[in-house]
Amino acid sequence: MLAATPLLEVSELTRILGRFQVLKDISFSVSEREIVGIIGPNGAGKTTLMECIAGLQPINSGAVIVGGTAIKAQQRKQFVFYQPDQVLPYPEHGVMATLLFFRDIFGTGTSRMEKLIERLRLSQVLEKKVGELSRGFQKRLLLTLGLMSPRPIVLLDEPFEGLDVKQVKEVVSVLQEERDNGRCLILSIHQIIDAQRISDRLLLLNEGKVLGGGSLDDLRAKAGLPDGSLEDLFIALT
Amino acid sequence: MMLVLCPLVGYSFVEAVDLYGEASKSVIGEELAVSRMAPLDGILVPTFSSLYLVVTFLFPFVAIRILGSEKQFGSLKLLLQSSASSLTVVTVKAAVLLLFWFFTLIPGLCAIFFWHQLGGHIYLPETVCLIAGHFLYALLVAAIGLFSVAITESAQTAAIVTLSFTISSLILEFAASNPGAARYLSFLSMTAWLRQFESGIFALPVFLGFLVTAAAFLCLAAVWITPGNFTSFKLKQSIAVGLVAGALAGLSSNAFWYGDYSEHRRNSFSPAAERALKKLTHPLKMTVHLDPQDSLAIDFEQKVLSRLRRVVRDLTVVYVVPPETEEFGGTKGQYGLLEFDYASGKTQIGAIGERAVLQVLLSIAGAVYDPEAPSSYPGYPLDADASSSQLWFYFVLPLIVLAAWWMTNQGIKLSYGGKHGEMLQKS
Repeated sequence: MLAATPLLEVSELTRILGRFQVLKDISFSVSEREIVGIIGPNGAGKTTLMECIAGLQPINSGAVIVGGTAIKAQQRKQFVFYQPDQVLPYPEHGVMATLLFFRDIFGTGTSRMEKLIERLRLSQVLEKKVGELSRGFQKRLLLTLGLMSPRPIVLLDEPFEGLDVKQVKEVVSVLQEERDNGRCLILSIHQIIDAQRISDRLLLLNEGKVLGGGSLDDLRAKAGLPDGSLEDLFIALT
Repeated sequence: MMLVLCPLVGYSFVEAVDLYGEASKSVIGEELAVSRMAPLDGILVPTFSSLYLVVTFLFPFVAIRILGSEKQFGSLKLLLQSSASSLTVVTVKAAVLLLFWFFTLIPGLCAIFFWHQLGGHIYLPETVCLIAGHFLYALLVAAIGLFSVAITESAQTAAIVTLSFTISSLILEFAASNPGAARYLSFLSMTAWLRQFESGIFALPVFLGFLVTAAAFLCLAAVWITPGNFTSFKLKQSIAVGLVAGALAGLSSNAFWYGDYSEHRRNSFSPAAERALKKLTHPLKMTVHLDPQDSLAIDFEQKVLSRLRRVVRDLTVVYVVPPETEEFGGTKGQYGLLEFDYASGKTQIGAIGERAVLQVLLSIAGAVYDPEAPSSYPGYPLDADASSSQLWFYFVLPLIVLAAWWMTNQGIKLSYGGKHGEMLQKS
């Protein structure tokens, strides 16, 4: 499912933290109605890359281009929303109160919120406090919040973390539906099987560098493993 | 915080009423002493000092929590990606904190009510002035708290930073009693700013100083929570904010407007004298031949110069330390001499006192001296027992606070009227 026009282009993005070059000349593009999975080992720079794209971290060089125009960090929130992993918004408040709060600040319609509540099966925990949720429900709440944002480009950090196999299938279905409705999704995934299942294209990141990008076949060609699984390719390319 | 504040205000109030009652009993029949019995100084200021303590030491934690927990749990990352700017986020947080502060006013207002019920006198302008001072102080503490959260990584560090500001301010206030260089340090103390309001004086420069400083801290907080900028850029923005705030503070200090809203006007010259002194339109230089640390100089500073500074716009005071004589460790003849330099004319007197200074100033200004009428403030002695209010402050009010907190938590769940809201209400 590839579209011709890139909605988002990342051009030679470099991020230096102290004396370390965390991201080195990262370039890739994502089109409308496309899901790109960023895969890589822990510490590869996946989260930093997403935060740089979203404008939550400064970049030392390079550009983030949306619809053909380079966008400054402060303006990127008009187009991009980044849903971090390992956050717990308002743990002392109820799930419903938290959803309503973000519905209001995002300006999302109630019907959209209710649809996401049902699709991500949050109805049963609406009365609970956010801090009382299990890891799986916390993740589903975060996904709901991320998808409630009205931005065309949504970055999700480890969207399948803490979910069981059945829940992963449900979330994959929800994300594919989002894509089909016109959204561009960039997912940071460290579970290779999950990445293979959902991504239209993949970006292989290691030590802050892009080792390869494209469809599974593109990566197979690059690694010289015509029948290799994504796991084989990952090992071969890293 | 409210649970601490209620008994604290109650205790302060009951103690203040007791002491005021004892003092009232001792002044019966002494007209001058009776006129010194002022509820502002005897009841209101001591009662509201509890609010000051709580705002100084506990309110910063509320300010830190309101932004710090969002930072800690990641909500801030989501919030800053909404269409609201960082400054809007910070301003809304400050507004919420001030809304909370209005709730902290309830015990103090209850104390005023009880005082009134006991037959105590309340003079509204001085009461409003006092509350306005506490409001501005809370605004500034809230702004500093939010700024501290913005520049630090953890809530604990933010607490240390905020308390450093509030406690330093408390310490700096002591410098106010020292004439000379130390006195200028006290101008940086927000506690000293609050004291002006506590004495019933509304000083426009102080009012603007509170607002400008609070706005500067809020802007700095916004600068430091804005994601996506390098630290060097944030530092440049901070310097710009500091420069603008400094310029505005400089302009505010030139805003020459003071109003004494206390009923007793103990900290000001009489209205007639003030009207006459306002005719001094040229620069006035006063040379005081005293050591600024001398008790006479301290008394003169507090009783005359502080009042004069609020009336005469262009006033310069110079202290000249008289040389000590070797034989007796005393001073030469210039000790206590006061020189006036006004519109190319010079006058000097050897007596330091309000009446003598006023006479000289008004005569060199060519103003007709209004003889001092005796103070019209009658004094409001009252021997009352406020111990019955303890039940309210120690038990009833804290219970109401707990009940309100519980009900508010319930209210959040029922505030949504949509599909899932109905489901929640049924359950």
